Amino acid sequence: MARVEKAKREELTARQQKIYDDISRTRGGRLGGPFSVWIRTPDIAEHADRLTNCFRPASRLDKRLIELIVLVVARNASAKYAWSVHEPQGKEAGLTAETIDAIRARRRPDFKRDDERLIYDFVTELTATKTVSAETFERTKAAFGIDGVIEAVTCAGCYGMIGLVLNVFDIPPRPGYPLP
Amino acid sequence: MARIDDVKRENLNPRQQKLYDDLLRTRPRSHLTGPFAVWIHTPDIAEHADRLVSAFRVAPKLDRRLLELIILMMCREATAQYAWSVHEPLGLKEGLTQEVIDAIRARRRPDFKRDDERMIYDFVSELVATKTVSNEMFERAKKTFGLEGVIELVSCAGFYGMIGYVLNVFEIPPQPGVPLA
Repeated sequence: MARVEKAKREELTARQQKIYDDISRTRGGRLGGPFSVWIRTPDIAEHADRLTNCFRPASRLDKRLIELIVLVVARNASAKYAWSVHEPQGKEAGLTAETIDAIRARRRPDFKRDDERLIYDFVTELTATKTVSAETFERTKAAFGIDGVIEAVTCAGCYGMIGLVLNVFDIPPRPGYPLP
Repeated sequence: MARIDDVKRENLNPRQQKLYDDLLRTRPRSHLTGPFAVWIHTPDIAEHADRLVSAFRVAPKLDRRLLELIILMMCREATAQYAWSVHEPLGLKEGLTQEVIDAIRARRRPDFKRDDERMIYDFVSELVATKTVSNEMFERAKKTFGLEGVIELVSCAGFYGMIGYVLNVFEIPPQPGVPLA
């Protein structure tokens, strides 16, 4: 049971309704997940939405790697809603079922693709220590460029924030992709 | 030594230069420092991250004193030197006592004189440790700060967690002052 009531569009202010429409337009017509909470604080909703959209067109990192970052962070926080949305998206973007199963089980996947291994190691070190070593930084920068590293760090941080919101407000997962 | 070059305005493209000017307009420094010295390289991210900073600064529901408390706790958790060095004086200005700030710096629970600060501290401590809060903590915080206040509390904690990651990965040096051990 979520700790917050679902917002009814007709009960929102004009500004909130515009934000509601903008957000749900790019998310299959739904105001799900953290946005069902953030719609009550429209300043945060509007800009959190735009920030997460920076990771969507995948101009820097492949969508497959963005989804990998999101799944690692969601697992780390046990953020069930985010996992339930991003497991199918990760598969669609090219992550293997084995990789996803390993992350779900808190095991290091046996990666076939080097770029996934680098991103996984980067994000797990970041979430554990709140930074990365010089070697990890240099290796990741060599593979993805400075802009790729900036995107990886910011995406991990952004979904860390989303994980906290989902957990505190107890947002239930979408059906089909449970996270034990 | 930062893991990214200092930002020189003349090396930026027009979109970045406009962003650079906008960012400095609301910050009391002569050049671009902190997380935006990193984010200026990804201007789409910079723009929306800056708007989120404003969302917590311009018309917050929580007292700014309490937001600074949340921020300092997140900086301590991540040992984010730059953000601590900026927010310690801001915290004092907004009404946190030096004793409270020193306790957080030393990773001790402060001896709070103000109940709202104590509640914020307990909430954020639990949030950082467990990535969530219990029903009792949630209900107590909602009764004290309202639903929107709790949304702001959690979002601010998460947002400054993100800032801490950026500052640490790029080893952004602190502003002058006593560093965080």
